[in-house]
This record gives sequence, C-alpha cells and structure tokens, in this order.
Amino acid sequence: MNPFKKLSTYATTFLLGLLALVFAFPFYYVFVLATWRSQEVLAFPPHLWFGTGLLENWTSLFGRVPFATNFLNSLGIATLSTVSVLFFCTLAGFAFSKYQFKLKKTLFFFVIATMAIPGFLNIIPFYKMMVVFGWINTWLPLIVPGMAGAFGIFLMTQFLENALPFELLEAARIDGVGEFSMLWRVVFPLARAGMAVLGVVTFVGSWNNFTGPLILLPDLDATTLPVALSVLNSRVDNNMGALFLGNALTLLPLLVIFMLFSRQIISGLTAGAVKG
Amino acid sequence: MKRLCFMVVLGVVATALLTGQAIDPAKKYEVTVGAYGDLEKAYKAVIATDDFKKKFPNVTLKFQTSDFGGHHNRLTTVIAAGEQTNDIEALEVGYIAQFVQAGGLTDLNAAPFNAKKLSKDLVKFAVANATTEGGALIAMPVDIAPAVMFYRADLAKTAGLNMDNVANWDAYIAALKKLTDKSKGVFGIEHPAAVSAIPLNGGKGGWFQNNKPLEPKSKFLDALSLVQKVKAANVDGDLGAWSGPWSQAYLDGKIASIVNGAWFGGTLRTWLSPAGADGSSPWRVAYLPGKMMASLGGTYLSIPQTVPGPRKLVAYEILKYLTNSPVAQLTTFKEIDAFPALTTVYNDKVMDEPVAYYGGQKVRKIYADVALNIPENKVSEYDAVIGGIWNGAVNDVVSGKSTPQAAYDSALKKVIATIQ
Repeated sequence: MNPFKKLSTYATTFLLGLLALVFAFPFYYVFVLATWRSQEVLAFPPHLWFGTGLLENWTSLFGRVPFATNFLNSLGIATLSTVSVLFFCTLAGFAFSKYQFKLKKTLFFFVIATMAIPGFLNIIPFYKMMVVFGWINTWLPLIVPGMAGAFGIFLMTQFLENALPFELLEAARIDGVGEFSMLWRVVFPLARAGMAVLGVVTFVGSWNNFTGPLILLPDLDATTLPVALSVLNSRVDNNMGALFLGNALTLLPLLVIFMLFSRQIISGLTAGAVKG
Repeated sequence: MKRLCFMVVLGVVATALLTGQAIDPAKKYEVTVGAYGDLEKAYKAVIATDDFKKKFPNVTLKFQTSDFGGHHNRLTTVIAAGEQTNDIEALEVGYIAQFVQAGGLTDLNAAPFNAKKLSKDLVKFAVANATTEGGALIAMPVDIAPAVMFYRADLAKTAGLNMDNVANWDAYIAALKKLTDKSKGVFGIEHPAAVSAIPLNGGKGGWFQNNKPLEPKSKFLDALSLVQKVKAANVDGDLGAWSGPWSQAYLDGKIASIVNGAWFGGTLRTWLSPAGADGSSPWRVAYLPGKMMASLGGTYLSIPQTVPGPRKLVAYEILKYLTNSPVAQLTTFKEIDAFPALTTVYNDKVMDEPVAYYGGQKVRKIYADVALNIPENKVSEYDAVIGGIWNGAVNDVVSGKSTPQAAYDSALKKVIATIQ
C-alpha cells in the first residue's frame, strides 16, 4: 500500500474512532452518574469514573416508584406496539406497492396526509374516545390506534417497491402459493431490513413516549418508565442519583436491541441508497 | 319513580350539607389527589398526623403525582376534554389565570361550599388571584412563596457587611461587589437573571395595566436595568440554575447570596448546603433590598367541575383541611418549606421559634411579614406566554445583545403580536 493511502486509512480510522467516542460518551456518562449519590451527581468538574452510591440509588429508586411494574408496562407496550406495527404496516406496504386496485393512489395520499396533522391537535378528542372505550389505565390506547401508522405504511411501501421483484411474486403464484401465504414465505423474509428499521423506530418511539402515558395511564402502577421517573424530579428532595439510575436501566433494553439488530438496521437504512 | 329517586337523593345531600356531614362515619372514602413535585411528600406527612387521623379516620388519600409540567399538561387536557380528573387537583400559581379565564373548576364560593368565610383567613393576594371577575373562587391557596434574600453570614462578616437591612438595589449591588472574591472563586450572586422577577412581584401576573401589556413601562424597564446593573458589576458566577456547576458552587460555599422564595430554604437545607453536626449552616435570611415585597410561587388546590357531586363534598372537606387547618399548614411547611397561605398560623409560636439551620435566626417571622404585605398581581390567561417572552428579553440584556430599552421594545412587540 502506498504511504499516502496508508496515512489516509489511519486518519480515517482515527476520526471515526473519535466520533464513535463522542457519540458513545453520553451513554457511558449516564451509567457513571447512576453510581454517584444524589448530592454528588452534579459535581463540577464532572465525575468520569464510577462512584459508590449505586446501592443507595437503587434503594431510593425502588422505594419511590414501582420500577419493576413500570418496566414491564414499558416493555409490554413497546413490544406489542412494535409487533403489531410491523405486521400491519408491512401488510399495507405490500398491498400499496404490489397490488393494483381502485382508488389506490387516493388511499395512499390519504394515509400520507395524516402525517401532516400534528399529534397534539387531536389529543382531546382522542382522550375522550379512550374514556368512552374504557381504555384509560390500560395498555390498549398506546398500542391499538398506532397499529397501522402512516409513517410505517409509507416506509414499508417504499421499501417493498424496490426490494420485492414482481417476478418473484409471479413465480410464487405459479408455484401455487396463496396470497396470504406469500406474505409469510416471500414478503416478510425479503422485507427484514426495512422491518428492522421500522421496528427500531417504533420501539424507541413507544419506549420514550411521555405525553401519551402521562395522560392515558395516570396511575403510577399502570404507567410507563418515563412518566414514573418524572416523579423523582423534585426541588426539595434531591433524587438525582435515583433518577440517573432509572435512566440507565431504561436505556439498557434500547442498547440491547440496537446491538442485536444493528446489521439489519444499517442495511435497511442504506437500502436504495446505491443504485444497483 | 325517577322523580321520587331524585327527591330522595336531593334530600340526603341537603341533609348532609345542613348537618355538615359530608363524610358519613360509617363509610370508607378514598379521595384522589393530583399533585406535582414535593406536594405528595408533604400531604403524606399531613395524613400521618394524629389530628388528620382523628378528624378523618375513614378517609384515605390516593396520589397521582407527576413532574411540574407533566401534571399541568395532563390536567389541562383532561379538563378540556370534560372528563373526570382526580377529586382534588393542585395548581401552581402560574397556571391559575388560565383556569380563572377558561373555567373547568368548581366555584368554591358557591353553595354548598360557601368558602368565602374560610378564605378570609388566607393571604389576600393569593385569594384574589384565584377569584374570577364574577366573584367565583376556583381554587384555594395552600402555600405561597414570600421572596427573601438568603445570604452567607460567614462571607458577609469577612466582607464587613450587614446584610439584614439592605437599603435598596444599588446598596445590594455594592454589597455583592464586596462579597465577590474571584481569586477564591466566590461570587456575590449566581446569575444576573436571578433578580429579574423580583421587581415584577415574581412575574406570575401583573403584565397588564388597563389592558395594556407591559405597563407601567417604568416597572419593566427598571427590572431590565437592574439585571443590566448586576451584570455590569461583574459579581455573578454566570451559573444557570439547577445545572452541575451551579449546585457545586453552592456545595463549595462559593455563592454568597440569592434572592428567592422561602421554599429555596428547603433546597439549601436538604441539598445545596446541608447543615453541619450542630444543625446550623452559614446561611441567614433577610428582607429583600429596600424591603421590597414579592411572591415567587405558590400552590392552589382545586376541585374540577367533572368530579361527581357526592365526591366533591368529601374532596372539599379534605381541601378545607389542607388549606385551613393549622396542623396541615405547619406540617407542610415543616416538610417541604412551602410557606402557609393560612394567616392565622403566622401568630403560632412555631413562627417565633429560632431555626437551627439559620444559626437560631427567627426566619419565619420575616417570611410571615413578607407574606402579609405582598401586593396583588392581577393575573391573566396570557401570563405563561408573556413570562416566556420576558425571559427572552432578560437573556438579551444579560448577553449584552440588547439595552433594557431595546429588549423592552422587542418584548412588547412580541406580546402584542401574541395577544392580538
């Protein structure tokens, strides 16, 4: 390798490493602060290494909020949301990208148009509907209405448009595969990368959702982690240590998911970026 | 038949009201309370008192607590939707005007509550803030935040200063200059913006005069000029409140004074400057410069209109207890430093007791005196928005981007554009 190319490779690696550190630091820092006592959390200069207050923070966190219950609520809602969104949005994306039917363009336009309406505009009628359904303090209002969201349908339509050749579908039909069976045998396997992106976006969105659970799951035992942790926000009682521990524990599932699916996410994000 | 049932229910309710028995001793009641911040902690201490247990042996309170913003957002949404809330909902003073204008809360002055006779013992300005033009009382003040000056006696002594009767803001700035010792990292005050709300009586209202925004102009220009003077005196640590460097500066004893509501004493005591082994700290309390009287916060308790009738009656008994019982008011004060809105406790012997944390100073007397003399601030539905615009003007002056006059003009333009 010529010396210039070698130098350029080293420089690129160094820069990428530096950038990786910059992006990873906030995550590391949350875990560091989770181990310092409340009074020491905001110390200046900041702590860069782990402290000895983990047990105290743990006791304080679990003493103040039903963390395990809130964790299960968050996990349950985010998982069921993700699974249902993946199923219904892929189904709709498949139909919009590969089928010809009357009013297809109008319907697709209608779905996309719903994205232009800011969520907070319909929060009051939405809340009233949930009261009528008797869904307050249940997981349902955070799962069911978003099962076939416009963003997911749009993403999967665009993805399947490119990733799923008509020829493959024709071949499957010739082989006698039914339409619904084709969804399981052909569409889902080929849509994995797109579904990974949609899955992560949905899971993270649901996991971090604050306003929804705040209004729809008002009871501390029924609510999710972001709302439960907000209870620790106090000006007289300093619960910073417990709050950071809660944040660190809340971050863990997201980090695990990203690590498990990083390959699919990256391939999904870059799909279509290069013309093949 | 329906008519008969209605008459029977009406009769039962009327009898209960006339005999003052909203709470049937033979039944068990659960009253739900929507709260924010530290209120749950305080009210849990109240319900643990013997007095509460004796008066309400069959009533339990269930809390729904969220952080400050979350609580008010939830409440606004649920009330706007016309759906059922908690039986009692807490409101911060900054939100009270919104509900005064928009409705949604029960008029406590109306029958069967007739709270007028109770509210006469509560601080007048706070009651006025929660009263509509038609005379409806939509919430009862439960705590207030008389503004005072906290200062470190050790640093004042070293600087040869008596901070107890600072004549005016110029004298305060002169004192801050003496307190500041940058070689030791000591600053007179945390940030110039810390003084900005005081001349506006806390800035929770008072933005209009005769329906004209930001009038009288001199009041607002003076507030901005004060910020500019503090900045120019080079006595601040440029420390944003609730940040890491800010809390560390307090912990290290590097901030000499702060003007804030009485509740800040709780933050100092439990967090920023814990007491030593003898229970005392270097912090002392004084009147604001020029003995200015101002309020920097406060909480109200309300009963939303959507709460069903019979529950309202029980909720009102609890609300009445929390706002009008000396035991409840003093317990709340002791627990979270939220100063009582009930003026009758200002003569309680507790108010005259020396407080160990402040080196035996009788600080509660100062709080009470300020509380009784805080001027009224007319609230409006635009208070929260104008407050945000005003903070922008203060920041422009602090950063040197604008003169007080230019910042005022710009803020006025924005306010007019917002309310039109």
